Amino acid sequence: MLEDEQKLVKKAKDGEVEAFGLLYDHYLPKIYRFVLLKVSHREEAEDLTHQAFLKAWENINQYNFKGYSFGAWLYRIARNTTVDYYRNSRSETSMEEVSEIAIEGISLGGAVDKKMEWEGLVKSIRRLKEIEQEVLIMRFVEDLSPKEIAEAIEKSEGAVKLIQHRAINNLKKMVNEGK
Amino acid sequence: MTENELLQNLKSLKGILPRSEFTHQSKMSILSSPRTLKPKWEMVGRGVLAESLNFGLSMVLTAAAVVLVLGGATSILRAVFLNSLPGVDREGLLTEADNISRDIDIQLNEAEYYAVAAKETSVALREASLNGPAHANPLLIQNEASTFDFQDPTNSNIDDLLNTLSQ
Repeated sequence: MLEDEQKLVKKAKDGEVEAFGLLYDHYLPKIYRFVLLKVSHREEAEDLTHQAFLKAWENINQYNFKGYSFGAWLYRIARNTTVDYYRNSRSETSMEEVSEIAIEGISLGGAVDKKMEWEGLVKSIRRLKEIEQEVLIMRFVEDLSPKEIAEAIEKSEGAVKLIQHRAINNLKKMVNEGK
Repeated sequence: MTENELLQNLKSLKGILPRSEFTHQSKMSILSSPRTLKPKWEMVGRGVLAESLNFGLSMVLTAAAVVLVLGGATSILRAVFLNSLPGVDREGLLTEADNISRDIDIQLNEAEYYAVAAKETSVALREASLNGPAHANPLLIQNEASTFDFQDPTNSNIDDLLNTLSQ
């Protein structure tokens, strides 16, 4: 969680653009990754991420701190935005797009032999159920606590732990089958 | 692949970052957009507040409907008005209500009697139309019709009878 996050949120609620700018800088990479791993299209991920932050900025007064981070609220908005996107137009992911995601990672210093591994991993994640994808990304990529995930996906902490357990097992099975 | 390796690989996905061009453009676009501050009640229009109000309203309406259906409204209103309004002659009102109730009972009895009488008449007429009345002998009627002079304003037989009676 961002230090003094609640102070920044309060300032943003009062209309301070700079405060929301800081929140944006902190959460943008996380929300972008979450969306990108779900849609696997860079441009669509950018559009959806932009929409999610715009909604957050417009409706920031609706966020109330109840022990969970501003991030959990942002994930919920991003999730709903992605669900709407899926409802309207769901397209298949091509290998090129998956590779594109992998290349982005490699360009940041990863080894070339990682490319295949990443492709397989991203493809396997996309084969999981929607809810399993979301929990897996939030828990193991973004390090959110089960409590924060529960708030983001509107389920209990117990349900989150159960989904997480299933997601890991299914993913392990899929990755090993793909080898 | 072991679970630890899998988790390590998942962590490495953190290396995915948005393009700096997109980051900058999106941020400028969002922060420069005019933020319309809506009234708080409107923002939660489809939220908890609206749901609570809807639920509360539906409960009140349901309760009112149940009271009306069960007829409890009359007794409640009577109890409320008779006991709470000052200057109301409670005894007088109750006597008047009893009288009205008695009148209604009498009228109901009359209506019942008329219904029975109408039924009996209907049966008699039905029998008469089917079998003919016993006293309506066509020969007798014919005879009386021939002896009775409808054109003469003075009937000698009647005059004789009247004279006998006057003596």
